[in-house]
Amino acid sequence: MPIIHEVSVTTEPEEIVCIVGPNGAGKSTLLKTIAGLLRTADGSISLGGSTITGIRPDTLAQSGVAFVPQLDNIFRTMSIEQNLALAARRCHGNRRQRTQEMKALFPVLDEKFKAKAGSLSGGQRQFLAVAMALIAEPSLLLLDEPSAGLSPKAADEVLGMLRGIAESGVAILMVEQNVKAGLRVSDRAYVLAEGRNQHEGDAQTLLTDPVLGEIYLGARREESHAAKSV
Amino acid sequence: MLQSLFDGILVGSILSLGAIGLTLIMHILRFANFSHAELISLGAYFTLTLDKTITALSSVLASKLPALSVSVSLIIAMLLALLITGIIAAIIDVLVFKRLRDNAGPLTMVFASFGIALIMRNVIGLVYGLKSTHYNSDIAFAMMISADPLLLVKADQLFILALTLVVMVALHLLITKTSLGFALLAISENPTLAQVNGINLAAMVRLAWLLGGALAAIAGVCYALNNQLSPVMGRDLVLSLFAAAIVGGIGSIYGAALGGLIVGLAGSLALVYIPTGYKPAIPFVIILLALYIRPNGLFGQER
Amino acid sequence: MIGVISYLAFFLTIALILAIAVLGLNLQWGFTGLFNGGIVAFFGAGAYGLVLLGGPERVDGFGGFGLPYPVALAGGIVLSGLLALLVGLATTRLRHDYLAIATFGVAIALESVVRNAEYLTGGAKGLRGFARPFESTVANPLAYNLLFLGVVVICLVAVYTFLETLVRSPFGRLLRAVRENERAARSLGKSPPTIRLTSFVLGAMIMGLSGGLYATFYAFISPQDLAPILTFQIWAMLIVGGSGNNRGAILGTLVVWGSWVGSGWLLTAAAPQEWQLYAGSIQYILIGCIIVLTLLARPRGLLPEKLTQMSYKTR
Repeated sequence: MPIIHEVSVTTEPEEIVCIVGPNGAGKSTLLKTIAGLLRTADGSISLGGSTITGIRPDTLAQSGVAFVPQLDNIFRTMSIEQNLALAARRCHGNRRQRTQEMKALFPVLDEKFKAKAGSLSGGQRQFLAVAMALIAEPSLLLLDEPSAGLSPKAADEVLGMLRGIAESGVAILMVEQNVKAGLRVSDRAYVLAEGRNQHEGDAQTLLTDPVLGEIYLGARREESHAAKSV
Repeated sequence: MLQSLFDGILVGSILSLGAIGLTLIMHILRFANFSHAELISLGAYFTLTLDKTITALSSVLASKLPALSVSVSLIIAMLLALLITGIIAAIIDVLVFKRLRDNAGPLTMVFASFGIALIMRNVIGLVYGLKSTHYNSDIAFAMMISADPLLLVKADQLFILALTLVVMVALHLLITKTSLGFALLAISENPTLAQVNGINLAAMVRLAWLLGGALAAIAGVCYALNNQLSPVMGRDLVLSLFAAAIVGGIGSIYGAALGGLIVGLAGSLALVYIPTGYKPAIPFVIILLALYIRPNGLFGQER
Repeated sequence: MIGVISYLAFFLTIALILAIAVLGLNLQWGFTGLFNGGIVAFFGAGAYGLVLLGGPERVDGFGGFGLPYPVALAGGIVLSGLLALLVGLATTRLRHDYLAIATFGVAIALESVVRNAEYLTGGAKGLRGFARPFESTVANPLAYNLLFLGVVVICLVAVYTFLETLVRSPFGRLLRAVRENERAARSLGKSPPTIRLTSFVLGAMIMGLSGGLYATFYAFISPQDLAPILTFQIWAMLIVGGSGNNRGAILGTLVVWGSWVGSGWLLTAAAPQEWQLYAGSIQYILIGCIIVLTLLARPRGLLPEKLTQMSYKTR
């Protein structure tokens, strides 16, 4: 059963685009499809002018698409060093240098370099996950609910880094359940519901736009209808 | 008691080799492969045929290693057989299991694996006959290492232990020191994350089958040396292999190795107290206990 | 003429007894998506339970209480249910192939226990001398067999009706819900593991009934009847008939059992002497091929696969 019916999204380098919407809208599904993990029945995905629809996720990862899943986004039984080494396999540049740069960008990773990733706190794990995505210098960074499960402070830290990352030339596309926090750091946003585009526009303007509430509430009314009839 | 310990470790080592491939496939592809144990039979019988062929071609190679009943040709045969068995395992996946998992679900693959096992076992029976056989007809004498407590050891058994040790060490080095082994570990722990980090899932799956098949073949040769070759040798080990994989934790290579030893020892020690007729029931009891008490086993990380 | 009728009655009796077991499997697999890898254990528990409870007194063993037939049959059915409970409790809350492994294991374990526990089960010799109900009153063997066939038909119809009703009942809707969308079922306060367990135990009890009738017919049970091949045969019958469909299950039974008996006859009659030893192997390969080829030929494999949790397909 298709979750996404008709969705259209574009991003540009150095731009942060946020996707919001009620549960079941298909936001995560969209990211996973772009990352190559799910198949599309129809439609196309292109990166920098070339079509990437139907390409394997590992090939995409090698070609500059980086995906940070919401859950299980680090290898718990491996150390930070091993996690980064694994992620660095697809580096086009100098692996040692890129690892150093990641350690500089996320000092906590340097401190706990040899520790098992499973022993890190939520926020630290998210840093590692993002580092693993960035280490290969992606052109597109996909983030699935980066603030999920994090304390407000950690969430702010993670989201706050995104501007700097974007400025280095990366296009960022993220899904956020925390609408305010997500829109605050973004340039543009799309609102998805029931597998379709419902609205799009400037992220800062959308923060105060009442249409946002309408879409969420509309969807909520649908949900309670469905629950009653089962 | 000492004898039981030794026998248990011996059987356990064989189970460890067989269980590694099983646990990897069970975790990565999420299906219990009931035909994995038949790869053990396949490997043992391929070795038999290749050994006879090599000996016929060059009688020099038929010379046995000192004190063992194992000849040079048997070792060469085993090396070839493990390659062939690994390839066959990968081919069966491509022909049958892969097509099923692309279209249907994991239980359909489990089901197909029953059918494949039935076919493999009975084809071996048709080709090689239903009677049990050995690699050579020499009678191997046991050495009395100790009189009290009693410990009788055959030289071949020491060879088996040494071989499994070498294989385990090689495997450990493969996983921890090579890029390929590391990638396999990553796919095993978290296939999605591994893929988005650039690791080719299909290639790793092929590697898992090749490795599993090769290890099963070695286990088959060891089992044949310790017991005998028979078309049902795989079938008799299936439940113990699953017990080893479950006890060790599905998906963990080290778990499977340890689990094999545990199941081997448990079976061997249990025989001190209960009649041998009940032996087939022991792995089942182990499985039930594991599932009730600790379904994830020792090192399992269930997703 | 009498010979043909007699043989037909014999063939049909066995086929329909097995069909009952296939219906039990259909409840477990077709309607609940549970993989039973050790059908023969639940079949055998019913058989042994019946004979132990209803059989003649044993000189050197347990059992032989000579209980009335319905009681003994019910006892066998309950025994199957208990066995299913033991295995099901451990596995219905875990991933689905654990049930496959555990049921596979219980069949092996049961066979080895039955073969060795002479005091309890008569060991390898089995238990004979079971007095079939009303046998003394019906003198003509053919008439008795036809009568027994009638009883089997009644049981089959009863089980069929029971299952058809179950499927249309609230429980049946629960089964569908659990199969299609486990998370939704859970959110409604239903416990999928409990629902699956119930279905599993019920299916096993139906298999126990089948085993009991089988032991009644032969008036004898032994560890040979607990051989794993029966599990494959029952599965083949369900697949060929199309799972999820009770009528298809019965049809599949007749087709597969007919093929099995037919192929056995053919091999005995037509194959050269040296091949006779391998007749069994050839039949087993045949069943293995039927299973694998049927699965490959159907693009969706066996029908009721869970639709959730297949998010990341391998490429």
